[in-house]
Amino acid sequence: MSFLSGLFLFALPIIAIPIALHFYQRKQRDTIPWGAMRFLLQDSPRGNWWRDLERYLILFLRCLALAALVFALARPMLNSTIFSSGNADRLVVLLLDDSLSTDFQLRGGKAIFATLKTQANEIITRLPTQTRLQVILGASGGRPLVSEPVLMTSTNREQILSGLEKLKPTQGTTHLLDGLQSVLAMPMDDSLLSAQVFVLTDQQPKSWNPEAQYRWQQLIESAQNLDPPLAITAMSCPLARDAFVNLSVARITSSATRTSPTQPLAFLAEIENSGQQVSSNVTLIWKVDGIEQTREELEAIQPGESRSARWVHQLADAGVHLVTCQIETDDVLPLDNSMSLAIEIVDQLPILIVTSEQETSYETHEANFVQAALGTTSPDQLSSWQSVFRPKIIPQERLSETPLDPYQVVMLLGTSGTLPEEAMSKLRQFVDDGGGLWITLGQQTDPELFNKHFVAGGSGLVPCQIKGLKDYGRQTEKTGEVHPPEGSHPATMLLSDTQRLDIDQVQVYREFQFRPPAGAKDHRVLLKSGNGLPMAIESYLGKGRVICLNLPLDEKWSTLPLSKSFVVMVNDWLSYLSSPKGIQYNVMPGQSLACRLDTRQLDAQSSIDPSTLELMIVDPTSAEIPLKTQMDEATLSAAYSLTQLPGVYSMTLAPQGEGTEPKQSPLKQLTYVVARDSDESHLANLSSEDQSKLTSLSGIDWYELSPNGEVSQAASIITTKLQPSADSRARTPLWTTALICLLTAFLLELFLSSRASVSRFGYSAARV
Amino acid sequence: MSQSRARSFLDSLRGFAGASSPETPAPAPSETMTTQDLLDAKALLQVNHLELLAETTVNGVLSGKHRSTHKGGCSDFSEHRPYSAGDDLRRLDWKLFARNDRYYVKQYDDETNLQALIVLDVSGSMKFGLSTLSKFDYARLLTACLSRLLVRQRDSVAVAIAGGGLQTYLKPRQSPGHLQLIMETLAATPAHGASRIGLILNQLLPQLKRKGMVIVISDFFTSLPELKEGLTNVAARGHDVLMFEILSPEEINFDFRYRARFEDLEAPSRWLDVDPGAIRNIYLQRMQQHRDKLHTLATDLGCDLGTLTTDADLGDGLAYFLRKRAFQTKQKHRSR
Repeated sequence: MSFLSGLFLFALPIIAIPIALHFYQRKQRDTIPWGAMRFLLQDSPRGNWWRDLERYLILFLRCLALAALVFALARPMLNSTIFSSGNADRLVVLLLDDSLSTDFQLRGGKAIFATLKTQANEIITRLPTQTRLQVILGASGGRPLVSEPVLMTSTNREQILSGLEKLKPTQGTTHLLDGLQSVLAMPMDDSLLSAQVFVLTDQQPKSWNPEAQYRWQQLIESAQNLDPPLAITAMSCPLARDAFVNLSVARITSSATRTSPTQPLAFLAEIENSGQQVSSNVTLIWKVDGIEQTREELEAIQPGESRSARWVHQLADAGVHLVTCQIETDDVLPLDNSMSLAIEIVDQLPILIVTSEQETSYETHEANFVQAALGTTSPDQLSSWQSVFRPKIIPQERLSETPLDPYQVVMLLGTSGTLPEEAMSKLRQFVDDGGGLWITLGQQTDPELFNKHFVAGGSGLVPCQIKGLKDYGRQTEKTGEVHPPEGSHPATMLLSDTQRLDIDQVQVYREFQFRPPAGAKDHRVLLKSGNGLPMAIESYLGKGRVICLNLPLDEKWSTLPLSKSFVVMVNDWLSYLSSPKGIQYNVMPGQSLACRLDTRQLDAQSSIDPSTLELMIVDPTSAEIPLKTQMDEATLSAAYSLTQLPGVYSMTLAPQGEGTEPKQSPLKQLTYVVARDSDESHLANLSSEDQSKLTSLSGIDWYELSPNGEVSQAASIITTKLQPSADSRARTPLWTTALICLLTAFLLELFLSSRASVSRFGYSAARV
Repeated sequence: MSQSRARSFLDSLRGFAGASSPETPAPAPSETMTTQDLLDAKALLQVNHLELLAETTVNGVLSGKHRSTHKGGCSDFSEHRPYSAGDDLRRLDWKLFARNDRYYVKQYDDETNLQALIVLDVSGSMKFGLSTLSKFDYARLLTACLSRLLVRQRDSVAVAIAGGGLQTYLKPRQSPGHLQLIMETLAATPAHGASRIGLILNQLLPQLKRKGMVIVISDFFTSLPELKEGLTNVAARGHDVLMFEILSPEEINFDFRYRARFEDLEAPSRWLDVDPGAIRNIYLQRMQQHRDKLHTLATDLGCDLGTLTTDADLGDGLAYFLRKRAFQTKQKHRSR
């Protein structure tokens, strides 16, 4: 038995008070000279035994009431299985590391994951029947193997063992801290007597995160404060090979992830050797939708070095394509030998270019430069190369009557600084819904009107006010310059490459100067001038984005339209601005997969009721998950957020099959790629320093598994850990019982005392 | 007396339900009472206008308020009876002879004085008194009060002090000096020993030459068969017997709370450790049985039994008793 407030037990001697009073009263005896002695001397012993018993019973009840009060205040917890219910009295959680690194091939061709599975199998087999088990997979963000902990009946045990057998290493990364945190968040049944979590993992430093000592301490403290406390046992398997070769496709990039069928795409793959030995020659294969397109021989790669491979390909068919780069090599980690990228091929992405009335009369107005950058000299005349963006040019006065929904981006070129109220609200609504807006200032821009209508005191489309116009002059040498942007922003990633592009050589003759934004968080500067003032400012409104450039896209104000950077800038910025309205097919782990489909364009020939369509997603473990869809007019939308596991996700839209009717062929198939962390390929064991840091944490029991996977190890650990200890045998709170006992003793004492009082002194005494 | 009442009041405050607690020491019997203390002015005032009359006829030598056993000629007409030889011719009713032509003799009831004997029990048990005056003191006051009342109505009073045996016997006298003697005797008398009232009544029989009144003042914690024998002998001689049962409230209620040692007042070497609460019921039961028997005994012998408790005012109790007795006597005479 344990006590939560044990200090109250020091008050236990107060139960001696009734006993002391009892004996004091018995001892204190006065002498009464008495006349009617004859009536006392005939006293009969009959009934005395009951009076004595009653007296001692009252004394006992008084002591019991005081003892019960003290016990209730001390909050006792009974450690016994006597009061445990017939439900499971133990919760066991297996946190199984199925990360990429567990695919490490040990000597003999056996993966670490197989060793971990063997140990897990042994643990599950040895679990007592009165145990609830849950298996949590670490690399999937704490994904449970079964929906909820199950009792270890023979059927459930077989099902879990069967599910365990099918598990394979994934491309994910296990963060043991997060995994254990998800175990802590599991609901604990009150009837549980003990809870154990067995962590089966490798010694990958990234998984353990030994630097986060404070988080580990907090986690252990939280585990010990649970009711019942959660005991953590870590069983890790080291990488038991001295030197090895590990080639991996570290990353794969493309010149664009959304493009037109006519635009060739340049793919760049980086092959890295994270092992300790020089690799042999490597065969690199490029595949599109699983079909091999080309293969290439790469020379041997030194340890710690990487090599790039470039492939240019033109994807002709519209839709989402999966481009995979794969290397053929015999290394220790086969799972990282390929990487994929989803490319969306669209026929065209319409954009709307709104020009001011005055500019339309010029031959070389901004729209022409934009069209040239997009590969279209005019909307009707297409050049050999053309961007995916298909512009439509309208004068500013037609903006109010033009529907904006079909367009991905609206370019407001050389704005005068004011728009009709209706047009302004349409633009705002367009941006709120995810559209992109690109505003350029120009000759007709009135700073005062612009500040009033577009800035509107900070609540407008543009966050910064125009301070004034700076004219450097065309002929002077002191023209303005453009500072090379940072490469961290997706819109300026390519622009920042000053070796291949010439953004730093652009000369600015005239420009509007923005008042530098102060303290605002919903905007950032994309481009800066040479004197540090912002040239292009980005702001977020609703779901969409707005970019405001402080000069027009013509050669009168700067040499920007004449530079090599201009085409890249226009395409990149349009891609960036259009991305909120588009769908992201290459996402990071945890990022939602979105789907928006126009059911009218699915199959014009067949008449399918959109309400009968079923959307299904297949994750990297080949699990099929139905998705809830939402119909908004003719647009079907859905989202899937459980994307912790890297890999390829496939979303298929097909009519629902009725009853036993076989599933029909999908109407639409979308492919998504969740990127994997290339650091997971950097295989290493915990250093001795890290090991000492982790083993110094009290509250975690550490065991190092033999790479051979001897089952006797898990067996001995299980036997030790699942032995019911004195502390974990029972967790039954007893203070309620103590209070009931107190109340019962009090009432019984009251009853017996009253009865004795009436018996001794009559009802008049009882009334007093 | 006032001091005693104050003490009893304080004691009642300390006690439970009017009873003294065992912690309260029993007040010492007032064996040193003076003659002045014995005359309770208030009680006397309350009974001053009342008379203690004998229910039966009594033999007296003086003219008094009580009906005499003698039929005299100067008193109230009683009845006619036929003349028989030897009757005094002066008592013939000549008017009746003239009407009936028969000789009748007039008879008259004589009124004479009473000779009363007050038997006061001074056994040890009479010393008891916790929250109130002791029974002995109460009984002495009652004796003094009755003596004065009787002397005042020109009756002669004899007093017998009865303890383990007959301690003192004061012959019947009527004079105020005799009253003073009674007072002095009462004041000087201690209470001790066992009660043998029945036996002493038998011993007093030779002294009771004239039919009169016998007043027994006691708690009657004595052998009832012995008492019955004594009372039967007294009543058989035609004496009007009055019994005053003096009890203290503790003896009636027995509401002691704590365990105590009870020492026998009649035999100081005898004591008993008891839990009062444990034996209360059986004590009360036995007490009631004893009193029931006493009442039955009194009823059977035609004795008048009155109970006085020491917590009650003596004047009130005595006045009530005398009024009741006077009423009963009147009823008896009417019925006769």
